[in-house]
Amino acid sequence: MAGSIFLSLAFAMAFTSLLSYGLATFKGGAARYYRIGRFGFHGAVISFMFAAAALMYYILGHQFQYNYIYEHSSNNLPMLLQIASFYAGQQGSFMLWTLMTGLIGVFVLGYAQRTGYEKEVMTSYMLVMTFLLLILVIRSPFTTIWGAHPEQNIPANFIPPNGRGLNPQLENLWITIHPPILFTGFAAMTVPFAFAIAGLLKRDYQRWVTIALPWALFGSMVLGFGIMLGGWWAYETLGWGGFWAWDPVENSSLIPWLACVSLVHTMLVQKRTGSIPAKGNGETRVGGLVKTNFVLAVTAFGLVLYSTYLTRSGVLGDTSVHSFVTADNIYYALLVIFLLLFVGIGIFLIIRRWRDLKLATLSIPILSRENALVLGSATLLASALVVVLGTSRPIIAPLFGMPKVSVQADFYNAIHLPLSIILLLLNGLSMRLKWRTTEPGQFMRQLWPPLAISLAGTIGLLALGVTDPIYLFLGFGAVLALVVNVQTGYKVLRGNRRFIGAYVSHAGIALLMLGIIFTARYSVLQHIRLVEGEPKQLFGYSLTYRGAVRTDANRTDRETYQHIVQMEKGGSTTEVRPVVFWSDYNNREGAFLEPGILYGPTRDIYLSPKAVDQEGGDPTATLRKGESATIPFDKSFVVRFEKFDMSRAQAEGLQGAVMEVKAHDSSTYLTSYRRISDGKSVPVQIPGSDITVSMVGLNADKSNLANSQAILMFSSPSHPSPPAKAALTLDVSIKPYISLVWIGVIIMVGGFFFSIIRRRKELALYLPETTAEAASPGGQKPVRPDPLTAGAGPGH
Amino acid sequence: MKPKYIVTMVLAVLLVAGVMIALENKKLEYMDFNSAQSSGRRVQIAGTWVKEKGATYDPASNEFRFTMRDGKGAELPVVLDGARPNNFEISTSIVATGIVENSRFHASNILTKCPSKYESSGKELNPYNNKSRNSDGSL
Repeated sequence: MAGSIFLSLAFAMAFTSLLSYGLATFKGGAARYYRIGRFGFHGAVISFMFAAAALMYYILGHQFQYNYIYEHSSNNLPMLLQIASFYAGQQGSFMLWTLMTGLIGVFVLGYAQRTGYEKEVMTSYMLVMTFLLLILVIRSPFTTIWGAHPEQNIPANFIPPNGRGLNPQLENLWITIHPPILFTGFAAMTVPFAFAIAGLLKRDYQRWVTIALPWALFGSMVLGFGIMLGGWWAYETLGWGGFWAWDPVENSSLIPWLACVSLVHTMLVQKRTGSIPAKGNGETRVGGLVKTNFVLAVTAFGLVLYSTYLTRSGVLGDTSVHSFVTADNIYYALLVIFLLLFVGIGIFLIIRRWRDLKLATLSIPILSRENALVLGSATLLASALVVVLGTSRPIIAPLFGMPKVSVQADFYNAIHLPLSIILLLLNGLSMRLKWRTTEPGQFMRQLWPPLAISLAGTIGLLALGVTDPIYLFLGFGAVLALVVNVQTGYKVLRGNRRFIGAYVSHAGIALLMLGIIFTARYSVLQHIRLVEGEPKQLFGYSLTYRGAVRTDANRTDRETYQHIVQMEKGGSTTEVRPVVFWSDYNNREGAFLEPGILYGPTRDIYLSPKAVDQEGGDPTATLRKGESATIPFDKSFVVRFEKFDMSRAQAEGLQGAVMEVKAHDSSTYLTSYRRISDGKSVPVQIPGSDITVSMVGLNADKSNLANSQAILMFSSPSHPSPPAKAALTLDVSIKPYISLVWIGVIIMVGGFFFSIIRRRKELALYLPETTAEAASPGGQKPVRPDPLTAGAGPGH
Repeated sequence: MKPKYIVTMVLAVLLVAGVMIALENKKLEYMDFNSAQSSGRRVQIAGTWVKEKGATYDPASNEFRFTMRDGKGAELPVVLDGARPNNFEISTSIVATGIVENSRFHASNILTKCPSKYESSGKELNPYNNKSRNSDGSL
């Protein structure tokens, strides 16, 4: 109850703030509009935090009368995972997104006040928040189960004893880290958009770029890190074998990232080619790419929304491994409106200001840093659009009346090979280009040493096994980018350290690409079955399966086993432990599998478990009611499984299997019992033979109990079987240099971090001029009167 | 026209052409078993697992076998290169990618869609109506 109220209150507050800031922007900046706007914003954030706290409180209190909690949490989840179930589903992840948007908003508000942008930025920011809250009010996580399923006639106030729980595959540490970071990145993407809209409203075409740049960098940093964590999660726990599968959900986080990084580069061009007065001296000169920056800032945010639409509305229901939703018309409609509204506002304002924007053109020489940045941005944007097209393919085709079609992951790889080569060459070469103009002769002379080193490096790659020509080309690009950035970065370190960010992040990208070249093209995989205690040779290792150990004896809803694989090479032995577990979540009908990894700087050895079975031992038969089996070592007996006997289950904890044993012309009924607690069974002897039958297991089919199977074992002293041995089936693969993928991304993230620090410091140079505005609302006088912001001016 | 624009346009046209060709070459059509059989191409088929007919994994050949019913009700045995897909048993529907060969669907990849995540199913909810979980995924 309280949760819904806080949610509605947050929405009302955000809407009030939106209206108030809107009035300040369009009707003039009366001080009371600012006061109400700020009050509404803070009120919305605080109410929302209460709503989020309420949801968390209900989750921790196992209040399963809430449909969302019933579906995503359960009594048996450890604390950390209960916390994670907060955002395990659709509504909860919108909660997280909104929460992050609100928290980032607190910083944005202060920042916008200091830079003289409060009313315009907060108007667009509050529009985004209001919309997110609207979605949550309409599809609330606080809906009760009787409210969510009216057709089932569930009595009000009914509390289910337990929830459905989290998919056990997601039960690990990464779910507590990856989504919050990803949504922080998504939320940060709102900021450059809000500043772009504000710039258009204010007719400020230059300053906004300087002000929004640190935020674009922040968004790229956080989202980039979040994407990497997702890849790591897929690799380390989910056992997908790789870190990237071009799945729609993965793509949906990559697309906005590419667009945002592209924006960072075009912003740099405009910032550099234009100028804004430092501390009030000089005048504003608008740099190049002014239109591009507005368009890109709107596009980047539009792509966040579009990606959300792709993955959340259910339109891609059957193309993603992430089982994101089946179609829900409300989300579909809301997200489309959301998307059209924001992109529409952006386009409308850009067209509105087109005449102003057209004035600010700049010619960029071909051999210049600016041009390299433009080409780099264009390539990044091309990459983003390719991913958009590929991911949208299943919904595009039907628009033209064609049958539904999706694309293979190969598509993305095929297109990104040439695009990556271009990007890496630009990455390396641009660092050798000067701003404005570079003298070709000097440029070439400076280029020889890194080119020579890169060529040597490429030969090194060849020696390491990269023989595919196009990958060798890619490798050359990566080495060149690495060499140039390390070389230049080293010089910068000894000179002006604060410029180091770009070199660090570009070197990180180069390392990432090297990692991708090796793992994507030169991983090898071998399927193998290991019988306990019997060593097998593979990839120069001697692999021996040493049985399993249970690791979560304290949990009743699942059984987890680490399967010990001993790996011996050159006298040294290590253990790798892939994990197989059985969970009540799927009635233990099938095992959940997690890989075991032997990490190394030059390669990982990846053991992906596939199945556990047995070799040797007495023969068994798995039978449904009425099914029969012949005893393998004595064909004269046929055993028919009649039914289960549960009459002793309550009192003695025994379950039984009633069997009819037919031999020639006779038939006998026998019952073997099995103790439920420890699985020990009591064999029964078939009269007139030394054969015993025991019920050793039961495969319960809870959806249709009549379908359940009994597992029967046949033994006979006169037909001894070889001793039973467990066998583990694995896909073993070698992932060369996959460590470079993670190291590369982390270095890149570090580079973004250094750049943020630099750009924040630069910003301080321009701040004093504008602090006055925050104290007395009103803002700068428009250059020309404009109906959009008529009445805006100082002194209201 | 400046040479710069011409170069840009040529590059853009090249990219668009490359993407169009790749989109066509790497496409995966959604089909049912009948049309997949006649097309002979690698396609995607959405359907459900016919639970009564079982599912087995053979560790030696690394093949997972089961029977699948497509959207039109046609059934075909499926052989997947690899182990039992995650969440296979609890899936409400599956999407298999592969080729029909010798009246078998040879799948290279299988996506499973399970009911409980990101979707409301409401099964087993009503205390007065908890005797069954509908296998067709309806409420």
